Amino acid sequence: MFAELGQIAYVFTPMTLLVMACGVFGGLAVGAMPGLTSTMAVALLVPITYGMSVELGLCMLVAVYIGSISGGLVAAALLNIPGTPSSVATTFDAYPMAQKGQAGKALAYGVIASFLGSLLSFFALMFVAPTLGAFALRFGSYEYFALVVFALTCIISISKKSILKGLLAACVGMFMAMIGLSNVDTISRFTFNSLALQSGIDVMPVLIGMYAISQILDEIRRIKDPFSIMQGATFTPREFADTAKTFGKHKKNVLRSSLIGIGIGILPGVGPGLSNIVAYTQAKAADKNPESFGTGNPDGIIASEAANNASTGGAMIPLLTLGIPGDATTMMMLGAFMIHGIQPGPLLFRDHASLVVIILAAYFVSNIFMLLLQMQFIRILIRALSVPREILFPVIAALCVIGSFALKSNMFDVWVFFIMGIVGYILVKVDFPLLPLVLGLILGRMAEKEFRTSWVLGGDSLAGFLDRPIAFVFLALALISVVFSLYTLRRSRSHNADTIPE
Amino acid sequence: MAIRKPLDFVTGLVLFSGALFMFVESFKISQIQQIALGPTFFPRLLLGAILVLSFCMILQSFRGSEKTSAKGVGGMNHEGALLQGGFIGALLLYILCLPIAGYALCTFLFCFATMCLLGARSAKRVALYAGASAVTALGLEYVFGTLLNLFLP
Repeated sequence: MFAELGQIAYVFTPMTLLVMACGVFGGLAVGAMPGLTSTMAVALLVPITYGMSVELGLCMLVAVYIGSISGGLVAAALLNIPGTPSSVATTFDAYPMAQKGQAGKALAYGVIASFLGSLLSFFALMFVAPTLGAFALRFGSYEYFALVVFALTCIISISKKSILKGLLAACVGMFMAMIGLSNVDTISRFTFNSLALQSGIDVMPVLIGMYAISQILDEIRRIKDPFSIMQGATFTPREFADTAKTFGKHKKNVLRSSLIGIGIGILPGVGPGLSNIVAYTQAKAADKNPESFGTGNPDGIIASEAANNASTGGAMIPLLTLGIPGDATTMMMLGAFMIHGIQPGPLLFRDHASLVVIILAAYFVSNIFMLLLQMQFIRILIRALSVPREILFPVIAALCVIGSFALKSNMFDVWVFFIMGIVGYILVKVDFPLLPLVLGLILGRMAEKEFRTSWVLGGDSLAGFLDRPIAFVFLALALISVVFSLYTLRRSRSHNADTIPE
Repeated sequence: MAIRKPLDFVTGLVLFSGALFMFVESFKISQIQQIALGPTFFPRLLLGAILVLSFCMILQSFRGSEKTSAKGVGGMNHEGALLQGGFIGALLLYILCLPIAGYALCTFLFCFATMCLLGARSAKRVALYAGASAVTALGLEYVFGTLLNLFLP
């Protein structure tokens, strides 16, 4: 991979820099709007990359990802509404600080922490990804099947309310992947003589429908409730410089929160949405004055923002090295990789090393853009909060239609997007987690292929798994994660039952 | 025995029936050329799991308190439901008309109709919606159709 280091120059060409700056800004703007997540930001901007080269398209998506995670800070500080789930914990201290007339300071703490979190995450991505990629080259069918099972159980285990529903969602997603020609023997399955179904259900229309339309439908319920934006919020470069000067005393918090973010980001399905809460809790526990948290303590903002940005790099590690997405947004990016004909995984480092170098460089440069753009244009982002939602939602829907259609110039995909949008909304309403379903759809075919290959290699049995320590460890971890989450769920239920008053 | 979680019961029933239908359908799949377990093995394994899990969900819907059941449409106001229905209807019409009337015209009509549906309908606002819809329709067609050279419906 080091032989390809010259490819870094690609990221510094004027066109790439311009596209990345636009991507970061677009991500910041979408992330800043309450209710629009980073997943939606990537979903909305994916169609723009269809007409670009693979390298340019992926640079843009990385930029959008970083921008959208960081953008959540603005709404968290000024509206007390997390712009994205990754900035839930930011609201705890950023809003009280803004209420005290220190909105600029709260934003400055958030921007600097986001940058430092991303920077540490970049180093983790740079050093861990190639090592893990090289290690993953030893993986065969047994290991891949076990890895898919482990990834799915990780996601099911974090299904907060019902593991049963998580399991069901994963099975339904995997079954959806079975529709079309089977990839081992090319036999038509569950197509009902439809030509459009022969190639199966594409991931992208499902992702766009489930994450964009179902979210719009949910937001429409609240469209008549106006946001109250904090008046007189300012953010000056001087305020930023003053905050930066005193940032040294928070370095322990930045390091701890970033490491939490990276670690949680690596786990499949658990991304920035959880890391910010965990980092906040840890920062509070480690502080000498924990009761000051929730009243405008800068450490609360720093912990949350450093962790959520750090988890972006963490989430990209399993995506690039194993082809397993770390969270919903990287799931969307996996779909984008596939559209451009690239299959992430260990072979990516061997066959497309130049692309890996470009992605890493794009990640680094996007962070610089994120810092500069937030410093200069945060006032514009504050204004983005006041874009009327009745104008925003139809525009998003029109963009989603392009995103679904332009993939294969096929109206069938637009119908898949529409139906899956409604199905996604219903599933959310009946407390079904969407993540296992979508991950099941993405990994279903891989699971089947590797399972059938393992069966053949094992002489018509699964005994081969016992001779493969890596596969065995993955399967054991999968079992432990399910048993552990069942145990914690049962314990929390019995605890709740005990504490319910008569 | 009363159903305590009706939404879970209905969802479980829908999934159970769907999985059962697909299981029966799986017997129509050609098995002439069979390599390693056959093309029906894995789908049937998944369908079996869905059948068992959805049956468990149906059973669970008879147990527990309603408090812990799915949130469903509870808390949804009548106006919210109407707006959602209107948005879905407009999107459906939009997709149906796309191959007939083309992207720019359909997008303009869809955006304008849904903006009027979701927002306030004063003369000033309606003019703003018309402008925003025109900019969206023409802007998207220019960016994707002309600049990025993508096929549009």
